Amino acid sequence: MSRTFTIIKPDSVEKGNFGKIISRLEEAGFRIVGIKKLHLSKTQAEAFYGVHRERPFFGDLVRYMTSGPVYVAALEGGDAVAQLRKLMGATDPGKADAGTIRKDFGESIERNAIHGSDSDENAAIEIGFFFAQSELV
Amino acid sequence: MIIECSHCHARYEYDSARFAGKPSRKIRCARCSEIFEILNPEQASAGTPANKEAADNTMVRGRRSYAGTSRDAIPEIEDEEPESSADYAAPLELPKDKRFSLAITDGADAARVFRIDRARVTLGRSGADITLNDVETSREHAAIEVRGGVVYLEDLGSTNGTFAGGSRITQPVEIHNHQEFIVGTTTLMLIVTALE
Repeated sequence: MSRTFTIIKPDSVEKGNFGKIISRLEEAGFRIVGIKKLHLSKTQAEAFYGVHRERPFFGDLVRYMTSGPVYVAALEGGDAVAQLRKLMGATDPGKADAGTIRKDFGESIERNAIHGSDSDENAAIEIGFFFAQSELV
Repeated sequence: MIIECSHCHARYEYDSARFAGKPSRKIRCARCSEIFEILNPEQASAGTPANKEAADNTMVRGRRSYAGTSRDAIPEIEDEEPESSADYAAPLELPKDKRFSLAITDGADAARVFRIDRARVTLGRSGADITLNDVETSREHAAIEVRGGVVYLEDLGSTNGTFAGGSRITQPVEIHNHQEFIVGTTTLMLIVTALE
């Protein structure tokens, strides 16, 4: 068993799709270790996406991620990082495989429904960004 | 059945069983927040011609009319009035094919997830089955009961109330998978997982 991290993004919450997305995660075998509903501050979003700070889309990304509430969650399952990325589909919903979360719920590269960690190392960092170890039992 | 917001015309799938025998229900549109009334087609068709006409011409429409509507594109809705159900008389029992959990999504205990391992669990500040670190909750504030595979939320006479669907509940109400409810300053989400 390993852990990964996900954000159910503002477009999913706004459209009421978060429940369906949580169901997809559970049906795929993930256990929700911890979940919070947050409205990210600009400072939080800039820090979380700090690795993209020099990229041209950074400002738009921060504006979007602070535009409404999100759910952040730590998930546990077999080969969690790879399993979640397969379930999410390609970053661009238009290029995502049928049956993936982004294909079914995403609108665009930015409003693409869900975030998932891209490596075990980043999963640990991202979980630690939002959750204290004592919260995840 | 498919219902349609009278203001922005967003369409939603609505389980007609949620009328629970009532002639109408008030719904808050998830897109524009308009509160609109929907009529129970079963009761309307058994009523006066005027009522029947109203049911045929207002927001209440059969799914067949919208065969091309993508069900995945329909956002969730919340009832303006929490519902109660006649099934509340069913015996307390956890079904074998589902697992129930409560996730605290907002408040001092946010992130914690509790497994509901009995057909009735209480929530509160102290002495309850699930202890909440929230001074705005009463000692035994609310209870979750599983009856006939349905999950009910009940307020136990708390000082600050229990809220579901935007309203303070005064009797046991049915809550659905991924629905959130509020006790004190704590928001909890019901998670129902189908077991293999």
